[in-house]
Amino acid sequence: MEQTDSQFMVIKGTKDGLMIYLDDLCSYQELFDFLNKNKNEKGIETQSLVSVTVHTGNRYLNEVQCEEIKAVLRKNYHFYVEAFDSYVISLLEAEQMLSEAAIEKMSGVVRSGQSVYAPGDFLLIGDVNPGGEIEAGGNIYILGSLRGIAKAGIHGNPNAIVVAANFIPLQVHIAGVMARSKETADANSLSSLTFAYLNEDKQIEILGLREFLSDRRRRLGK
Amino acid sequence: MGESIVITSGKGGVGKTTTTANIGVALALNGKKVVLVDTDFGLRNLDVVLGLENRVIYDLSDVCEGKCKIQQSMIKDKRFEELYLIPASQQKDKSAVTPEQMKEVILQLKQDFDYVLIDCPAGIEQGFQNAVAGADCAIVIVSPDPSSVKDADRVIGILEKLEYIQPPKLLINRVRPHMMRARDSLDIEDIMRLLSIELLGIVIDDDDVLKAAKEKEPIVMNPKSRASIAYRNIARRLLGESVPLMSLSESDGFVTKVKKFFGMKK
Repeated sequence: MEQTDSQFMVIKGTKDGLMIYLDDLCSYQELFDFLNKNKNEKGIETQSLVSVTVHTGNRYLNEVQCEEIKAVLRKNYHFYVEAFDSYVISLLEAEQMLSEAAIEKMSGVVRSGQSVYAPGDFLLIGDVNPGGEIEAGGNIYILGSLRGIAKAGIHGNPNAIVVAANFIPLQVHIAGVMARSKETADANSLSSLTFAYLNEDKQIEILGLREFLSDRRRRLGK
Repeated sequence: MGESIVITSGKGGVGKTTTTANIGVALALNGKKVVLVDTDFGLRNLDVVLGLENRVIYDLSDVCEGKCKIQQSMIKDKRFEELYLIPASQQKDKSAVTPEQMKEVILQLKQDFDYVLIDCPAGIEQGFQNAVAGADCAIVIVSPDPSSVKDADRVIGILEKLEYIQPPKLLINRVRPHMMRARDSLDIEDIMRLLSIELLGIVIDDDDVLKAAKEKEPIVMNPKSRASIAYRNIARRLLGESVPLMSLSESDGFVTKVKKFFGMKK
Protein backbone atom coordinates (compact mmCIF):
# COMPACT_ATOMS: atom_id res chain seq x y z
CA MET A 1 0.00 0.00 0.00
CA GLU A 2 1.52 3.22 -1.12
CA GLN A 3 -0.05 6.62 -1.34
CA THR A 4 1.74 9.38 -3.17
CA ASP A 5 0.81 12.87 -2.06
CA SER A 6 3.30 14.64 -4.25
CA GLN A 7 6.95 14.39 -5.05
CA PHE A 8 7.69 15.98 -1.62
CA MET A 9 5.93 13.57 0.69
CA VAL A 10 5.43 9.81 0.54
CA ILE A 11 3.42 7.91 3.10
CA LYS A 12 4.14 4.22 3.57
CA GLY A 13 2.64 1.66 5.85
CA THR A 14 5.20 -0.48 7.61
CA LYS A 15 4.79 -3.15 10.25
CA ASP A 16 5.72 -0.56 12.88
CA GLY A 17 3.08 1.92 11.72
CA LEU A 18 2.91 4.78 9.26
CA MET A 19 6.17 6.16 7.93
CA ILE A 20 6.32 9.53 6.17
CA TYR A 21 9.21 10.01 3.78
CA LEU A 22 10.04 13.65 3.09
CA ASP A 23 11.90 14.68 -0.02
CA ASP A 24 15.54 15.44 0.75
CA LEU A 25 16.53 17.25 -2.46
CA CYS A 26 14.31 20.33 -2.40
CA SER A 27 15.08 23.25 -0.11
CA TYR A 28 13.72 23.18 3.43
CA GLN A 29 11.60 26.23 2.73
CA GLU A 30 10.01 24.55 -0.29
CA LEU A 31 9.23 21.48 1.74
CA PHE A 32 7.78 23.48 4.60
CA ASP A 33 5.66 25.67 2.33
CA PHE A 34 4.34 22.57 0.63
CA LEU A 35 3.34 20.97 3.92
CA ASN A 36 1.88 24.22 5.18
CA LYS A 37 -0.17 24.86 2.02
CA ASN A 38 -1.61 21.42 1.48
CA LYS A 39 -4.23 19.90 3.64
CA ASN A 40 -4.90 16.23 3.82
CA GLU A 41 -8.33 16.34 2.20
CA LYS A 42 -8.36 12.62 1.72
CA GLY A 43 -7.59 12.15 5.42
CA ILE A 44 -9.95 10.53 7.82
CA GLU A 45 -12.52 12.93 9.17
CA THR A 46 -12.08 11.93 12.82
CA GLN A 47 -10.23 14.34 15.04
CA SER A 48 -8.07 11.68 16.64
CA LEU A 49 -4.38 11.95 15.84
CA VAL A 50 -2.51 9.32 13.88
CA SER A 51 0.96 8.39 15.10
CA VAL A 52 3.66 8.47 12.46
CA THR A 53 7.41 8.36 12.11
CA VAL A 54 9.02 10.93 9.83
CA HIS A 55 12.01 9.91 7.73
CA THR A 56 13.97 12.85 6.40
CA GLY A 57 16.28 10.87 4.12
CA ASN A 58 19.64 12.58 3.66
CA ARG A 59 18.40 15.88 5.06
CA TYR A 60 19.57 17.10 8.46
CA LEU A 61 16.89 18.92 10.44
CA ASN A 62 17.85 20.96 13.47
CA GLU A 63 15.64 21.05 16.55
CA VAL A 64 13.71 24.16 15.49
CA GLN A 65 12.97 22.68 12.09
CA CYS A 66 11.85 19.40 13.65
CA GLU A 67 9.41 21.31 15.84
CA GLU A 68 8.06 23.23 12.82
CA ILE A 69 7.49 20.04 10.82
CA LYS A 70 5.88 18.44 13.85
CA ALA A 71 3.50 21.39 14.26
CA VAL A 72 2.51 21.65 10.62
CA LEU A 73 1.89 17.92 10.27
CA ARG A 74 -0.31 18.03 13.32
CA LYS A 75 -2.28 21.05 12.13
CA ASN A 76 -2.82 20.07 8.52
CA TYR A 77 -2.73 16.29 8.52
CA HIS A 78 -3.69 15.24 12.06
CA PHE A 79 -0.41 13.37 12.33
CA TYR A 80 1.36 13.03 15.62
CA VAL A 81 5.11 12.68 15.02
CA GLU A 82 6.48 10.06 17.34
CA ALA A 83 10.03 10.16 16.08
CA PHE A 84 12.31 11.50 13.40
CA ASP A 85 14.49 9.15 11.45
CA SER A 86 17.30 10.14 9.18
CA TYR A 87 20.40 8.87 7.40
CA VAL A 88 22.43 11.79 8.75
CA ILE A 89 23.29 12.99 12.26
CA SER A 90 25.34 15.92 13.46
CA LEU A 91 28.97 15.51 14.48
CA LEU A 92 28.04 16.39 18.05
CA GLU A 93 25.47 13.60 18.25
CA ALA A 94 27.93 11.18 16.69
CA GLU A 95 30.60 12.05 19.22
CA GLN A 96 28.14 11.64 22.05
CA MET A 97 27.04 8.24 20.77
CA LEU A 98 30.66 7.23 20.42
CA SER A 99 31.51 8.27 23.96
CA GLU A 100 28.45 6.47 25.30
CA ALA A 101 29.52 3.30 23.56
CA ALA A 102 33.12 3.54 24.75
CA ILE A 103 34.60 2.04 27.91
CA GLU A 104 36.52 4.58 29.95
CA LYS A 105 39.46 3.01 31.74
CA MET A 106 41.26 4.16 34.84
CA SER A 107 43.76 2.68 37.24
CA GLY A 108 44.20 3.98 40.76
CA VAL A 109 42.21 4.61 43.88
CA VAL A 110 39.09 6.79 43.85
CA ARG A 111 39.48 8.32 47.29
CA SER A 112 37.11 10.04 49.67
CA GLY A 113 35.77 13.27 48.17
CA GLN A 114 36.74 12.34 44.62
CA SER A 115 34.23 11.75 41.87
CA VAL A 116 34.79 10.31 38.41
CA TYR A 117 32.36 10.29 35.50
CA ALA A 118 32.17 8.38 32.25
CA PRO A 119 29.43 8.91 29.61
CA GLY A 120 29.59 5.23 28.72
CA ASP A 121 30.94 2.24 30.61
CA PHE A 122 33.59 2.62 33.28
CA LEU A 123 36.37 0.17 34.03
CA LEU A 124 38.38 0.79 37.18
CA ILE A 125 41.50 -1.15 38.07
CA GLY A 126 41.74 -0.18 41.72
CA ASP A 127 39.49 0.61 44.63
CA VAL A 128 36.67 3.03 45.37
CA ASN A 129 37.12 4.12 48.97
CA PRO A 130 34.29 5.26 51.29
CA GLY A 131 33.29 8.77 50.24
CA GLY A 132 34.51 8.22 46.67
CA GLU A 133 32.02 8.09 43.81
CA ILE A 134 31.82 6.70 40.28
CA GLU A 135 29.12 7.84 37.85
CA ALA A 136 28.64 6.22 34.46
CA GLY A 137 26.05 6.39 31.72
CA GLY A 138 26.53 2.66 31.23
CA ASN A 139 27.92 -0.19 33.27
CA ILE A 140 30.54 0.05 36.01
CA TYR A 141 33.21 -2.64 36.30
CA ILE A 142 35.59 -2.52 39.26
CA LEU A 143 38.61 -4.81 39.47
CA GLY A 144 39.16 -4.07 43.13
CA SER A 145 37.09 -3.13 46.14
CA LEU A 146 33.96 -1.05 45.88
CA ARG A 147 33.60 0.62 49.28
CA GLY A 148 32.14 3.94 48.15
CA ILE A 149 29.26 4.89 45.86
CA ALA A 150 28.60 3.59 42.34
CA LYS A 151 25.98 5.15 40.08
CA ALA A 152 25.38 3.23 36.85
CA GLY A 153 23.00 4.17 34.05
CA ILE A 154 22.68 7.73 35.31
CA HIS A 155 20.97 8.86 32.10
CA GLY A 156 18.23 6.35 32.77
CA ASN A 157 19.52 3.09 31.31
CA PRO A 158 17.81 0.40 33.44
CA ASN A 159 19.96 -2.35 31.95
CA ALA A 160 23.15 -0.95 33.45
CA ILE A 161 24.95 -3.10 35.98
CA VAL A 162 27.58 -2.62 38.67
CA VAL A 163 30.24 -5.29 39.11
CA ALA A 164 33.01 -5.37 41.69
CA ALA A 165 35.56 -7.96 42.69
CA ASN A 166 35.04 -7.00 46.31
CA PHE A 167 31.55 -5.66 46.73
CA ILE A 168 31.03 -3.67 49.95
CA PRO A 169 29.57 -0.36 48.71
CA LEU A 170 27.93 2.35 50.79
CA GLN A 171 25.35 2.87 48.04
CA VAL A 172 24.59 1.54 44.58
CA HIS A 173 22.40 3.53 42.17
CA ILE A 174 21.11 2.14 38.88
CA ALA A 175 19.02 4.43 36.66
CA GLY A 176 18.08 6.49 39.69
CA VAL A 177 17.12 3.55 41.91
CA MET A 178 19.16 3.41 45.07
CA ALA A 179 20.20 0.55 47.32
CA ARG A 180 22.03 1.05 50.59
CA SER A 181 24.45 -1.26 52.33
CA LYS A 182 23.07 -3.24 55.21
CA GLU A 183 23.84 -1.67 58.57
CA THR A 184 25.54 -4.87 59.65
CA ALA A 185 27.80 -5.38 56.69
CA ASP A 186 28.83 -8.97 56.26
CA ALA A 187 32.01 -8.24 54.37
CA ASN A 188 33.02 -11.84 53.86
CA SER A 189 29.91 -12.97 52.04
CA LEU A 190 30.48 -10.47 49.22
CA SER A 191 34.22 -10.70 48.90
CA SER A 192 33.92 -12.54 45.57
CA LEU A 193 32.84 -11.10 42.22
CA THR A 194 29.40 -9.58 42.73
CA PHE A 195 26.84 -7.98 40.39
CA ALA A 196 24.11 -5.44 41.03
CA TYR A 197 21.31 -4.92 38.49
CA LEU A 198 17.70 -3.73 38.25
CA ASN A 199 15.10 -6.49 38.20
CA GLU A 200 11.66 -6.30 36.57
CA ASP A 201 10.17 -4.64 39.66
CA LYS A 202 12.73 -1.83 39.44
CA GLN A 203 14.49 -3.07 42.54
CA ILE A 204 18.23 -3.48 42.81
CA GLU A 205 19.24 -7.09 43.13
CA ILE A 206 22.68 -8.30 44.09
CA LEU A 207 23.99 -11.62 42.86
CA GLY A 208 27.19 -13.62 42.88
CA LEU A 209 28.87 -14.58 39.63
CA ARG A 210 27.34 -18.06 39.32
CA GLU A 211 23.78 -16.93 39.95
CA PHE A 212 24.22 -13.96 37.65
CA LEU A 213 25.47 -16.06 34.75
CA SER A 214 22.72 -18.64 35.04
CA ASP A 215 20.02 -16.03 35.38
CA ARG A 216 20.90 -12.82 33.60
CA ARG A 217 23.37 -13.65 30.90
CA ARG A 218 21.48 -11.63 28.33
CA ARG A 219 21.52 -8.34 30.26
CA LEU A 220 25.18 -7.58 29.93
CA GLY A 221 25.15 -7.33 26.15
CA LYS A 222 22.65 -4.49 26.05
CA MET B 1 69.53 21.85 48.57
CA GLY B 2 67.50 20.24 51.34
CA GLU B 3 64.19 18.44 51.31
CA SER B 4 60.89 19.87 52.52
CA ILE B 5 58.39 17.50 54.08
CA VAL B 6 54.85 18.44 55.07
CA ILE B 7 53.26 16.51 57.93
CA THR B 8 49.52 16.40 57.57
CA SER B 9 46.47 14.31 58.46
CA GLY B 10 43.19 16.03 57.65
CA LYS B 11 41.73 15.22 61.03
CA GLY B 12 42.92 17.01 64.14
CA GLY B 13 44.35 15.38 67.22
CA VAL B 14 46.10 12.44 65.59
CA GLY B 15 49.56 13.76 66.45
CA LYS B 16 50.82 15.96 63.61
CA THR B 17 52.66 18.40 65.86
CA THR B 18 54.10 15.71 68.14
CA THR B 19 55.29 13.80 65.10
CA THR B 20 56.83 16.90 63.51
CA ALA B 21 58.76 17.66 66.70
CA ASN B 22 59.94 14.10 67.20
CA ILE B 23 61.00 13.42 63.63
CA GLY B 24 62.75 16.77 63.64
CA VAL B 25 64.65 15.95 66.82
CA ALA B 26 65.44 12.44 65.58
CA LEU B 27 66.90 13.87 62.36
CA ALA B 28 68.91 16.36 64.42
CA LEU B 29 70.18 13.43 66.53
CA ASN B 30 71.48 11.99 63.27
CA GLY B 31 73.48 15.16 62.75
CA LYS B 32 71.22 16.75 60.16
CA LYS B 33 70.46 20.45 59.98
CA VAL B 34 66.71 20.74 60.50
CA VAL B 35 64.17 23.54 60.64
CA LEU B 36 60.60 23.01 61.80
CA VAL B 37 57.96 25.34 60.38
CA ASP B 38 54.64 25.70 62.22
CA THR B 39 51.85 26.73 59.81
CA ASP B 40 48.96 26.31 62.25
CA PHE B 41 48.11 30.02 62.47
CA GLY B 42 46.07 30.96 65.49
CA LEU B 43 46.63 27.59 67.17
CA ARG B 44 50.38 27.25 67.26
CA ASN B 45 51.68 24.40 69.38
CA LEU B 46 55.03 23.32 68.03
CA ASP B 47 56.82 25.85 70.26
CA VAL B 48 55.10 24.33 73.30
CA VAL B 49 56.01 20.77 72.39
CA LEU B 50 59.64 21.78 72.02
CA GLY B 51 59.59 23.91 75.17
CA LEU B 52 60.53 27.08 73.27
CA GLU B 53 57.38 29.06 74.04
CA ASN B 54 59.15 31.88 75.86
CA ARG B 55 61.58 32.58 73.02
CA VAL B 56 59.07 33.50 70.30
CA ILE B 57 59.61 37.05 69.02
CA TYR B 58 58.95 37.05 65.29
CA ASP B 59 56.79 34.51 63.49
CA LEU B 60 56.08 33.14 60.03
CA SER B 61 53.60 35.86 59.09
CA ASP B 62 56.21 38.52 59.92
CA VAL B 63 58.60 36.81 57.51
CA CYS B 64 55.97 36.62 54.77
CA GLU B 65 55.03 40.26 55.24
CA GLY B 66 58.67 41.27 55.16
CA LYS B 67 58.66 42.65 58.71
CA CYS B 68 61.75 40.64 59.57
CA LYS B 69 64.40 38.44 58.01
CA ILE B 70 63.98 34.67 58.01
CA GLN B 71 67.02 34.35 60.30
CA GLN B 72 65.39 36.64 62.86
CA SER B 73 62.30 34.45 63.12
CA MET B 74 64.25 31.24 63.63
CA ILE B 75 64.46 30.03 67.21
CA LYS B 76 67.42 27.81 67.99
CA ASP B 77 66.57 24.73 70.01
CA LYS B 78 68.10 24.60 73.48
CA ARG B 79 69.30 21.00 73.10
CA PHE B 80 70.63 20.89 69.53
CA GLU B 81 72.89 23.22 67.64
CA GLU B 82 71.34 22.45 64.29
CA LEU B 83 67.62 22.39 65.11
CA TYR B 84 65.52 25.48 64.52
CA LEU B 85 61.87 26.44 64.78
CA ILE B 86 59.86 29.03 62.89
CA PRO B 87 56.67 29.56 64.88
CA ALA B 88 53.25 30.40 63.48
CA SER B 89 51.45 33.56 64.43
CA GLN B 90 49.11 33.20 67.37
CA GLN B 91 47.15 36.38 66.62
CA LYS B 92 46.56 36.22 62.87
CA ASP B 93 44.49 33.65 61.03
CA LYS B 94 45.19 31.39 58.09
CA SER B 95 44.62 34.08 55.47
CA ALA B 96 47.61 36.07 56.76
CA VAL B 97 49.91 34.31 54.30
CA THR B 98 49.47 33.02 50.76
CA PRO B 99 50.69 29.76 49.17
CA GLU B 100 53.08 31.78 46.97
CA GLN B 101 54.68 33.42 50.00
CA MET B 102 55.03 30.03 51.70
CA LYS B 103 56.66 28.55 48.61
CA GLU B 104 59.17 31.39 48.61
CA VAL B 105 60.01 31.00 52.33
CA ILE B 106 60.39 27.20 52.11
CA LEU B 107 62.59 27.51 49.03
CA GLN B 108 64.86 29.89 50.91
CA LEU B 109 65.04 27.55 53.92
CA LYS B 110 65.92 24.58 51.72
CA GLN B 111 69.14 26.36 50.71
CA ASP B 112 70.44 26.33 54.28
CA PHE B 113 68.93 23.20 55.81
CA ASP B 114 68.99 19.46 55.11
CA TYR B 115 65.37 19.05 56.17
CA VAL B 116 62.47 21.50 56.35
CA LEU B 117 59.57 19.92 58.26
CA ILE B 118 56.24 21.70 57.84
CA ASP B 119 53.60 21.16 60.52
CA CYS B 120 50.21 21.39 58.79
CA PRO B 121 47.00 22.54 60.51
CA ALA B 122 43.95 20.25 60.59
CA GLY B 123 41.49 20.58 57.75
CA ILE B 124 41.90 20.98 54.00
CA GLU B 125 41.27 24.71 53.62
CA GLN B 126 43.59 27.68 53.24
CA GLY B 127 45.93 26.58 56.04
CA PHE B 128 46.44 23.22 54.36
CA GLN B 129 47.00 24.87 50.98
CA ASN B 130 49.66 27.11 52.56
CA ALA B 131 51.39 24.19 54.25
CA VAL B 132 51.64 21.97 51.17
CA ALA B 133 52.60 24.77 48.76
CA GLY B 134 56.33 24.47 49.35
CA ALA B 135 56.58 20.77 50.13
CA ASP B 136 58.54 18.20 48.10
CA CYS B 137 57.03 15.23 49.88
CA ALA B 138 54.34 14.52 52.45
CA ILE B 139 53.81 12.31 55.46
CA VAL B 140 50.19 11.54 56.26
CA ILE B 141 49.47 10.71 59.90
CA VAL B 142 46.60 8.40 60.69
CA SER B 143 45.36 6.85 63.90
CA PRO B 144 43.51 3.54 63.99
CA ASP B 145 40.07 5.12 64.01
CA PRO B 146 37.65 5.16 61.04
CA SER B 147 37.17 8.93 60.88
CA SER B 148 40.90 9.54 60.91
CA VAL B 149 41.36 6.96 58.15
CA LYS B 150 38.64 8.55 56.04
CA ASP B 151 40.11 12.04 56.43
CA ALA B 152 43.55 10.69 55.60
CA ASP B 153 42.07 9.13 52.45
CA ARG B 154 40.71 12.52 51.42
CA VAL B 155 44.02 14.24 52.08
CA ILE B 156 45.96 11.57 50.16
CA GLY B 157 43.56 12.13 47.26
CA ILE B 158 44.35 15.85 47.26
CA LEU B 159 48.10 15.28 47.62
CA GLU B 160 48.14 12.79 44.74
CA LYS B 161 46.62 15.46 42.50
CA LEU B 162 49.51 17.86 43.25
CA GLU B 163 52.18 16.96 40.78
CA TYR B 164 55.07 18.69 42.52
CA ILE B 165 54.74 16.49 45.61
CA GLN B 166 56.08 12.94 45.65
CA PRO B 167 53.56 10.20 46.49
CA PRO B 168 52.68 10.62 50.19
CA LYS B 169 53.88 8.18 52.84
CA LEU B 170 51.85 6.89 55.74
CA LEU B 171 52.61 7.02 59.44
CA ILE B 172 50.24 5.12 61.70
CA ASN B 173 50.21 6.79 65.09
CA ARG B 174 48.61 5.98 68.44
CA VAL B 175 48.60 2.26 67.84
CA ARG B 176 47.48 0.16 70.77
CA PRO B 177 48.76 -3.34 70.10
CA HIS B 178 46.55 -5.07 72.66
CA MET B 179 43.40 -3.59 71.09
CA MET B 180 44.53 -4.54 67.61
CA ARG B 181 45.22 -8.07 68.73
CA ALA B 182 41.72 -8.28 70.20
CA ARG B 183 40.29 -6.79 66.96
CA ASP B 184 38.84 -3.92 69.01
CA SER B 185 40.41 -1.31 66.76
CA LEU B 186 41.27 -1.15 63.07
CA ASP B 187 44.49 -3.05 62.51
CA ILE B 188 47.45 -2.16 60.33
CA GLU B 189 46.17 -4.46 57.57
CA ASP B 190 42.76 -2.74 57.44
CA ILE B 191 44.33 0.71 57.20
CA MET B 192 46.88 -0.30 54.58
CA ARG B 193 44.27 -2.05 52.47
CA LEU B 194 42.12 1.07 52.37
CA LEU B 195 44.78 3.74 51.91
CA SER B 196 47.20 1.67 49.80
CA ILE B 197 50.24 3.95 50.01
CA GLU B 198 53.75 3.32 51.27
CA LEU B 199 54.06 2.77 55.02
CA LEU B 200 56.74 4.88 56.66
CA GLY B 201 56.30 3.68 60.19
CA ILE B 202 54.11 2.72 63.12
CA VAL B 203 54.19 4.54 66.45
CA ILE B 204 52.73 2.93 69.54
CA ASP B 205 50.48 4.93 71.84
CA ASP B 206 52.77 5.10 74.83
CA ASP B 207 52.05 6.73 78.21
CA ASP B 208 55.54 8.16 78.02
CA VAL B 209 54.44 10.38 75.11
CA LEU B 210 51.99 12.25 77.34
CA LYS B 211 54.52 12.38 80.13
CA ALA B 212 57.13 13.81 77.80
CA ALA B 213 54.64 16.40 76.55
CA LYS B 214 54.14 17.59 80.11
CA GLU B 215 57.90 17.88 80.56
CA LYS B 216 58.01 19.78 77.24
CA GLU B 217 60.69 17.42 76.06
CA PRO B 218 60.05 15.41 72.86
CA ILE B 219 59.67 11.71 73.60
CA VAL B 220 62.42 10.85 71.14
CA MET B 221 64.97 12.16 73.68
CA ASN B 222 64.15 9.19 75.90
CA PRO B 223 65.88 6.23 74.26
CA LYS B 224 64.01 3.61 76.26
CA SER B 225 60.46 4.39 75.16
CA ARG B 226 59.02 2.31 72.35
CA ALA B 227 57.49 5.40 70.75
CA SER B 228 60.91 6.99 70.76
CA ILE B 229 62.47 3.99 69.00
CA ALA B 230 59.68 4.16 66.42
CA TYR B 231 60.39 7.83 65.70
CA ARG B 232 64.11 7.16 65.45
CA ASN B 233 63.43 4.36 62.98
CA ILE B 234 61.21 6.66 60.93
CA ALA B 235 63.97 9.27 60.80
CA ARG B 236 66.43 6.62 59.63
CA ARG B 237 64.00 5.55 56.91
CA LEU B 238 63.74 9.16 55.77
CA LEU B 239 67.53 9.21 55.58
CA GLY B 240 67.36 6.29 53.20
CA GLU B 241 68.20 3.36 55.47
CA SER B 242 65.98 0.34 55.31
CA VAL B 243 64.86 -0.38 58.84
CA PRO B 244 62.41 -3.23 59.44
CA LEU B 245 59.11 -2.42 61.16
CA MET B 246 59.17 -2.89 64.89
CA SER B 247 57.25 -5.87 66.21
CA LEU B 248 54.03 -4.74 67.86
CA SER B 249 54.00 -7.39 70.56
CA GLU B 250 55.62 -6.24 73.73
CA SER B 251 58.49 -8.40 74.82
CA ASP B 252 57.39 -9.86 78.12
CA GLY B 253 59.68 -9.17 81.02
CA PHE B 254 60.39 -11.74 83.69
CA VAL B 255 57.84 -10.33 86.14
CA THR B 256 55.10 -10.33 83.53
CA LYS B 257 55.86 -13.92 82.67
CA VAL B 258 55.55 -14.92 86.32
CA LYS B 259 52.32 -12.98 86.67
CA LYS B 260 50.99 -14.67 83.54
CA PHE B 261 51.96 -18.02 84.90
CA PHE B 262 49.87 -17.41 88.00
CA GLY B 263 47.02 -16.00 85.94
CA MET B 264 47.37 -12.52 87.40
CA LYS B 265 47.80 -10.81 84.04
CA LYS B 266 46.49 -11.67 80.67
